[in-house]
Amino acid sequence: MTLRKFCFHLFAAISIFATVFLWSGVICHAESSYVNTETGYRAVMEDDAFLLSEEEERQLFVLLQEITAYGNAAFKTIDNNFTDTERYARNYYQIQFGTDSGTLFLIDMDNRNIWIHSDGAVYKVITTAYANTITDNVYRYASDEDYFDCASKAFEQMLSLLKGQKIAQPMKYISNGLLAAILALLLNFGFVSFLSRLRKPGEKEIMENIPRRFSYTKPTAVFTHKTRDYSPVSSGSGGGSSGGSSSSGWGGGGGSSSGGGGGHSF
Amino acid sequence: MYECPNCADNLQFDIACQQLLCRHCNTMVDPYSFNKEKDAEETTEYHVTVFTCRQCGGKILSEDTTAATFCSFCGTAAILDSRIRKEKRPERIIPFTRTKEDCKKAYVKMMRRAIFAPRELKKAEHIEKFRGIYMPYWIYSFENKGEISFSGSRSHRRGDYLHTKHYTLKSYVDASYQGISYDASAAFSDTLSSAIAPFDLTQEKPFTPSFLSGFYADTGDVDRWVYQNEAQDMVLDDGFRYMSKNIVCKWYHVDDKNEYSLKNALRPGCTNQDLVMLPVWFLSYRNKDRVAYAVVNGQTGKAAADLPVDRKKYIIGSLILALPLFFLLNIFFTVKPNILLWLSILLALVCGVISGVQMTHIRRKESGEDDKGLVYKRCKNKGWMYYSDTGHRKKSTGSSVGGIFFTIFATILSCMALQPIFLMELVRGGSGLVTGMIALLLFAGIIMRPKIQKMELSLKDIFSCLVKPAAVILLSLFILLIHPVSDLYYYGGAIAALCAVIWNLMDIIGRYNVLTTRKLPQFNRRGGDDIA
Repeated sequence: MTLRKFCFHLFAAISIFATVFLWSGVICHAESSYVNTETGYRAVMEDDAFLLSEEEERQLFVLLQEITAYGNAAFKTIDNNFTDTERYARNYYQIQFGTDSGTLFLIDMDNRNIWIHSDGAVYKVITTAYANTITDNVYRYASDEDYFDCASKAFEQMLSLLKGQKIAQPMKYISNGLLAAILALLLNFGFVSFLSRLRKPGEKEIMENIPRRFSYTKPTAVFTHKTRDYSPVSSGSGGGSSGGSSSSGWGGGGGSSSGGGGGHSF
Repeated sequence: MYECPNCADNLQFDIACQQLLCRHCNTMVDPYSFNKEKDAEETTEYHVTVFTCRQCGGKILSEDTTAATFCSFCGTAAILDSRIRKEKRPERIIPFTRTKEDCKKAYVKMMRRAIFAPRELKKAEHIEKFRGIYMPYWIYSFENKGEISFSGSRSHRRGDYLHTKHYTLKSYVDASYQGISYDASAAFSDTLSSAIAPFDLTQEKPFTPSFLSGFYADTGDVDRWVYQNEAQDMVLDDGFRYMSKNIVCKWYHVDDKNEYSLKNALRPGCTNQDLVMLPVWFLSYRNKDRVAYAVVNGQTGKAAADLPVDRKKYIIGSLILALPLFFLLNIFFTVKPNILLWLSILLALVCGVISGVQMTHIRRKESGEDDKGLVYKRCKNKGWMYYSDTGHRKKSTGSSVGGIFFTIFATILSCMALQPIFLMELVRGGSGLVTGMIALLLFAGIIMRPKIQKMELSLKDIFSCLVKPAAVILLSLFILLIHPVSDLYYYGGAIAALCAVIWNLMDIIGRYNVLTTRKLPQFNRRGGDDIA
């Protein structure tokens, strides 16, 4: 075998191996995609961490499709993440939808976090506060390894919000109620203390209300003596700022995003 | 008692006409002409009826010998003892110029802003109990006339040396201050008396006992020199303010480097200390063993009062205010459970600081530390020497309690402000800050331990001011440190902590009521009624 033939076979073998590997990479996770013809919004589902069965994926995808009436929708699970969950969610969303309106529900098995990231018009509805509330409401399912219920309940609550309905947030009301009561008690205490304190008139006010006279002739100064004290001037390191700040940032990142979200560990 | 020359009925001083008036036949008599001969005989003393309350031991003077029916200071409905006694005769008097109606109007106007005050304080029958009392005041006059000399200096730098030329400045000063007043009754609180100051001393008249007819009078039991230093310092500061503004004084740095020298030169001599009777409308409100007073200046109509808080009203008012706050919070604020714990820590610290400050004031008030006249009286009763300072206060117990929490509070805030990494951890509920906080608490505990031991706090105080807020902080920190996944721990801890904060706030209101009232027997020497 000539060297030329050997190189050809090696190249072919590598190519076949690479092709098989890449295909296996593609089929190692279930990926579904859908485009809503009326709105043009897309639904994307990538279960890279293999958390859902096929039936569960199908059911969940129906929910995602419903959300496309309002914006893009994505469901993503991962089991390897070299960054934090929030950054991953932001980057993934931008790769999928850019700065379009939509929402993403991410289950990060590496950091054991769930995260909702939204952008555009959807973010005005599913705000960071709501994202926190929803993830607070569903994180227990993830803790119990019931990932389907976790995701479906999250998307159901997002859909409810997008439809203009309310979602349950009892702890928010309880904690805000207690905080409001404490703030009211403190404010009233400040109010009472301020208005009820016995004010003592100042020296100036007392002096203005008594008969008084203070006159004096212009002071004359007579030199007496001179002193000299050793008082070295401090050298003063000065230093100053090095000035200028870099605005380059790293890695670009493809435009600004106005979106945001919230999450919960499980 | 002053008899009417026409019908022999009782004559009383009438505010509107500024004369002694017979309410039976409307005869008016000049207060001076009536008792001229008797006054001439007794120049330093005068006879007066002293009423003594059997319950609080309080004493009050009256020109009338009619037995009083109840004590107007502690509220006891008991017959008061009365006897004739000789009293030191005041030099001058300012007669009442504000009628009872004026006084009631001023009081009602003041009470409009006291929305949480007990309802009884605003009732017409309660307001009707205002009594006119002449309070004894020491009136100090100071004078400084003659040449004064003081130091001045000019400095300039040459290399590493500071060259200073020293001067003696000379000036002729003519200063006169008349009528700086301090109440001469240990019974009359300094805070109340100063709250209704000043009086216009240009309207004072020579004293004659007939002015007291129809009113009460308090006895002057504080020595003349008790407030003299304080008054002198006030005069000194005023003179210093005047002179230091002078361009020559500024040129020679008299105002900053040579302040002591100028003040020393300006120190005035006290030319007069006169005992003068000043008019005060007085009202008391008793609740269990505490009493609150309202006073109105009988000359200017300026009103001041101890205004306790009705807890029921306060809670209802707070709940009403909490409603809009609740809606606002729901709109703008969704708090994560770990942040809620941090908030409860901060609120507990705020409560700790407030409690500490309140304890400072309560201890000062209950011990009479804030009232020179009272301190003098107590020292005198115990046979101790009284030293009159210039009004500078020593740091006392309560400030240390507040100081502990304030130190922690300030440290946390500065950590948060200076270290963005802490802030990031705060947002994420990280354990680094929690560990730092626990270390800080332990450190503060070790540093403050000797101070806490010195405080000699009662168990109730320790529980209320230290244990409760500290328990909230430690519970919250413990939860943050173990950092559980389940929100239930955070919410449970936060709700428990916030409830404890509310409990703390209720204690704060209780302490506020202690601060705005006085313990009985407050004066241990008063009594009387308005049938003078």
